[in-house]
Amino acid sequence: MIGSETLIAAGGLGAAYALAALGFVLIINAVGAVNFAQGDFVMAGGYVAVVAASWLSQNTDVAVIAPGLVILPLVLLAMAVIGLGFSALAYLPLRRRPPMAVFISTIAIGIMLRQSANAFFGAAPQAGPVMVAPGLAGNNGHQLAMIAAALVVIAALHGLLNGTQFGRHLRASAQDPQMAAAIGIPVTRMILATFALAIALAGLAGLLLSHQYLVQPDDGTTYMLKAYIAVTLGGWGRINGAVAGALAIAVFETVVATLVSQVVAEMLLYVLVLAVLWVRPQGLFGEIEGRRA
Amino acid sequence: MTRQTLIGGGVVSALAVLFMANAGGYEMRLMSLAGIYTIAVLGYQMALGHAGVLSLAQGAFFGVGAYVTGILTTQHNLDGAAAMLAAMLVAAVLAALVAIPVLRLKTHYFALATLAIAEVVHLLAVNWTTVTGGANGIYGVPPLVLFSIEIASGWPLLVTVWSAVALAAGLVFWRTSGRRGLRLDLARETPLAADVVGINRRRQRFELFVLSAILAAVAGSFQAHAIGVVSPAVTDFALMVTILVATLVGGQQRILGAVIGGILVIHLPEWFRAFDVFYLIAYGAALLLVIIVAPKGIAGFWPRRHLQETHAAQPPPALCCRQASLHCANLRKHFGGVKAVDGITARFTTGQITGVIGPNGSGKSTLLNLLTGLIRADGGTITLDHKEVTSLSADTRARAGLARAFQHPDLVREHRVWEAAMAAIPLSKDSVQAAKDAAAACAHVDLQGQAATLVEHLSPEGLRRLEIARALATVPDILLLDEPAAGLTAAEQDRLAVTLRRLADDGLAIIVVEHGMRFLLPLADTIICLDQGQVIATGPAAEIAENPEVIDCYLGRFEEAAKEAGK
Repeated sequence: MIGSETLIAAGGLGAAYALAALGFVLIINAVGAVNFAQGDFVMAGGYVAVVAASWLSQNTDVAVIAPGLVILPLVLLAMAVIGLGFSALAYLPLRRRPPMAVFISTIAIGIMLRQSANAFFGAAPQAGPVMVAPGLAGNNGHQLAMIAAALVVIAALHGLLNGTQFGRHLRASAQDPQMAAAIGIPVTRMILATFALAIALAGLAGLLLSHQYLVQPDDGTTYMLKAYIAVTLGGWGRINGAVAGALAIAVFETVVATLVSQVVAEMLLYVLVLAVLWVRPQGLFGEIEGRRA
Repeated sequence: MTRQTLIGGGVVSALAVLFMANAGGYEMRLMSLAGIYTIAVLGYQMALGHAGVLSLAQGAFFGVGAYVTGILTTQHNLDGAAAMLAAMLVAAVLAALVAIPVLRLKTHYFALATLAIAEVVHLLAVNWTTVTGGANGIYGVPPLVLFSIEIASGWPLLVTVWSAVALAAGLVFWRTSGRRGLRLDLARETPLAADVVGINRRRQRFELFVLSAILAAVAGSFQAHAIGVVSPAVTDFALMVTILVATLVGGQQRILGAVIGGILVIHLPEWFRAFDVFYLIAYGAALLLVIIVAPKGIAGFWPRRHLQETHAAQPPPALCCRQASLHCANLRKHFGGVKAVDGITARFTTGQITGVIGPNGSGKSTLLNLLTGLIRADGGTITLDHKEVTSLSADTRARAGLARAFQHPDLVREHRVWEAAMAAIPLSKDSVQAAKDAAAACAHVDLQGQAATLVEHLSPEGLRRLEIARALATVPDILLLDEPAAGLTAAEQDRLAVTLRRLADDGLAIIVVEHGMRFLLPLADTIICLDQGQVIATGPAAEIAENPEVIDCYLGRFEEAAKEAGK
């Protein structure tokens, strides 16, 4: 019952969850607040992908063999710009206030995104582009391409955060904003960059999910919860932990859904999280200390 | 009852009568729904505004209330009142069960846990088809029946709902205003300060969380009767967001805010109807705007009501301390590889001022935290009046007579001086005695003239004195002070020393951690010098000042520093 098909499907889903969770944890580290709109940005990325793909198919004569991969950079860029706008609305006016204020402002942005999607695209689900055309890389080509795209982006992110001066500045700003400012790092600019990065990652997750799982205005809450849970399981504030948590959730969800049903998978996941928090109120792997909401 | 309250009440009643006389069925229906949401918001205020917990399960409790009512009235022929009681009970039990593991979590995990619970409730509502009717929900919920009178829609429902609002408001007022409110402020804004004056924060949160769930269930139950249908929409996250928006827009703490929020969330969609599908976007934008420009919501524009000073003690009566002793033996606390406190034994007794000195990192603050119970010891014992308290929580120790003031005053900015002292007094004391204690506490630190001053308007010296006054308001036997003189001018330090001496002469045992030797040496009866988590010298101040080991590890550095500075 659990064959390689299931595992590849879990890998594809896990890849998308991992991207969303990475963005989520980046914002937690940067401003200490939970981004409640993270899932809605995944949804928004899905719609950007739908629009970009339809534009692509209308403006190219030959059939594109990998529409998803072609528009990937475009989605990243568009969502990064949206991320900047997001930080200007939801973070900058509130940066002198407790993290709880940012927490709630992201809820407000989430409502606006969801309702905008509803107003412009309607409530009916839409399908995003396939990553690579069927037949090009076997039956699982789309899912394998999802995994590959996520791996490349996660590796690039790792290189950016750990191997560049920009990444060091970014991490320093997240760890201790006052100290970072004292040694001349433009902290506010770094936080804006974090938002751009985080939302671009959410958008990419949206693109990856949009073909197989379709896009709907209401999708946000579920994806946000998955990212939230991934970060809780993986260790609050831990970047590698977020990826591990996301993969674990995807495998759990896919396996239980295959064996029993999707509803039971979701329900069990939530119950599991409650059980984890019951036994370990500090999260599964503890957390990196800092201000938070 | 002040004149303002009477006038306000009169205006509201007149408006209500005017509304009832002129409104059609549709407006009455909207106002009934507004009342229903007001009840849910009043509940949510208790959790979010008063207890300070970001619960995302209020919508789920609303849904539970609606479903219990729907199921019992349609499938089991129960009448509405009994069903509502059952709904309240189910929500209360659910909330209590949830509260035990969840209420100790930090904000971000608390939000996640309550959200997970809400999702489970929602999934059950959609998928447990045999009981909940699945996606179709439950149809034909009959009107509410109270004392065998059927409450029809229109004005009977309107009057009933708003009567329930009044009852709920009364409940909220009872549990969150006056001295209770002050203690809630303290617990929410300055949790450590709440611990050391003996407030049981867990109990507070538990009570408010369960009450909030009960009010949500009442609202859900009313809604089931009002619209006759219960669908999974009542457990949807969107409903939670509606309650959250209403609470934040109206105001997190004021009863008036709940009414404003409840009325607005129901009527805004009507007023914004012209915007068609875009009105919900405007809704999100409105929430964002309120958070940015009016963090206290619309009701926050009304000035805060303060507790009146009812007693002025002049001159201050002597403290009535019991003969008390605090003793620690072989106390140990390690942080990773750092031995912060490594086998300290000490005794503190009535009427004595004990100074604790030592270089930075020698374990002074850790010792204070261990004695007050803010952190737990790895080994050793602490005895208070011959009773071992090593494993007791900070608030329990505070109730047993241990009080503490912090180095950085940890006070609620919106309190008045008088209120800050009152907040420390247990509710079990009657109001006359409480007022006397608060007045005496202020008088002991010479703040009696500033009882009505807002905390945020106090000078640094005033803040420091108020920290001590709050500790004294608990009528302690032992007072622990963490660097009380730091940052004060020489004249202010001298005044503080006089005050502390007087308190010790009244019988208080005082423990002072301090770096200012000019302040401490003349003041302290005994001095304990720590280094690397161990006691290196104990004795009268004059002796300690001459002790070569103390000079070597600590005091000597001052003289060298003075020489350095003199160059």
